[in-house]
Amino acid sequence: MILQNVLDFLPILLKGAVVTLQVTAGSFVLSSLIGLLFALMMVSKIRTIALFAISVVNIIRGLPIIVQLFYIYFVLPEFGIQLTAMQAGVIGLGIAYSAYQAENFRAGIQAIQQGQIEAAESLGMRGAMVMRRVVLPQAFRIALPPYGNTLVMMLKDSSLVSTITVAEMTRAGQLIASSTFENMTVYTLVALLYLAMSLPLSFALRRLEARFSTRRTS
Amino acid sequence: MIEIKGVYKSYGSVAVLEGIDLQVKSGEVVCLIGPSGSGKSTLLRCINGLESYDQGDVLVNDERVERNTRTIHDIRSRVAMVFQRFNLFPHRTALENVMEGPIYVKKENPQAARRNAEALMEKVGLSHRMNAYPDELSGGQQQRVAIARALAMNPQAILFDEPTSALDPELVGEVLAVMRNLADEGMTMIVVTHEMAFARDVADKVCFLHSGKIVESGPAGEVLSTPAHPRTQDFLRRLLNHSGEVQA
Ligand SMILES: Nc1ncnc2c1ncn2[C@@H]1O[C@H](COP(=O)(O)OP(=O)(O)O)[C@@H](O)[C@H]1O
Ligand SMILES: [Mg+2]
Repeated sequence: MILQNVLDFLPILLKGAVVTLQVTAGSFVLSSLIGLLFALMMVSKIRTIALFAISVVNIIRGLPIIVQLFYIYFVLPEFGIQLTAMQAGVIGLGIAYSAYQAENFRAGIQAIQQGQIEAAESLGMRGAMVMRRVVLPQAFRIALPPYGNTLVMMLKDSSLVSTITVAEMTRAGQLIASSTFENMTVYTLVALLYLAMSLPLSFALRRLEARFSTRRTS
Repeated sequence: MIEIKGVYKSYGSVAVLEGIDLQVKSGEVVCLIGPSGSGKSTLLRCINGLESYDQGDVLVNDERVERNTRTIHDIRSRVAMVFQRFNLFPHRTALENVMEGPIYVKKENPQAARRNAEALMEKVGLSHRMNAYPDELSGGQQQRVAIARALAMNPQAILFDEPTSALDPELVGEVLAVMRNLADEGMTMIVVTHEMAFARDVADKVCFLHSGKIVESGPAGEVLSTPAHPRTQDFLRRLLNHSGEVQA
């Protein structure tokens, strides 16, 4: 009986899991790009740029992710911006997490010793090249542990996009549960599937960190 | 080739350089000595624009050195700097550190830059450690890589800011030996150092800084063995008591 249920539910949940991974990957890439942009602005020597970025990051961080998702999915259409649920989910989660990514990167950039920057400058490098060749490669290594952490958090928080009807794994589970009332079986399966994704991911990240983070940073 | 004329600098209300005049001709080795906090590093850093100055002129080949101008990058690529704490790029191998400037600043052909970098690693006695990362090298080895990195830019002058002060005593010699070779080859060098034996043997001119002023300067033999200024005498006496190294 239970086994039959599991066999029935699993394909539907796995389909949802694929969407979960897509949402996570898409919003992770987006949040990294926006977060890096914010981080570069935050460490800018031009004060207005730095202040602007710091303000935006604080505003994003001060809003619940669900509210941001609702805003993008339900409010933007009133301004003529119509997005699919999937697009709204990826963009919403990407923006919401860009604030945390910005903090990760900013901390990494500011951890680079001044001497590194001076060595690069004394070779005649210009600002952008100092960033690209000397600061960012080291900042990424320093930021790797919090960066990996953020990825795992995003995998779990991708379940939030179920609230705007994206058919990812949590929503697939909700739909099955509400039609079969097999709550225990369904949500146990959902929980196990999340663990099946997040634990290997954490393990892989730990391995990557061990290779990079302790050595070869100033 | 390097001319410093009436340079003043202060941090807020703290005067750090108070009217420095110094001329360094091509091929000359000038050693700057003086107590900690006398402004030696600041002076050196004004010469390649890592630091700005308030008054006066710093000229490299008659070109004024000024931080935050368009020409500063070009001047820096011609006046190399070697730091007390090496400041090698930790994420790149020794050889990559040496190739970095030629490839990315001077846009040299990577193959040619590699061949030149290999030759320079050989010159500083590290051809067997080219693929090591900085954290796999001793301090003396790291500083020799830093010198090779400076040389790779084919600079007209090299500024050294206490290049051996961060080293264990037994590693000082290998770095000074490389610097002696450079001096013999006619490299223009300004060296901030507490190594009096090096200054005496290698320097064409020694300048003694105190409170942001050059209070005494002249041929190494004169300044170090028969200093005229009481501050210089005092400084050298202290150093002598400390290391027992200075013999006239
Ligand atoms: N960034 C800075 N801000 C304020 N004061 C500084 C700074 N850098 C150096 N100083 C001060 O300037 C003086 C000269 O410093 P420095 O040039 O490093 O001396 P030295 O290299 O001879 O030891 C010192 O009194 C030091 O405290
Ligand atoms: Mg100093």
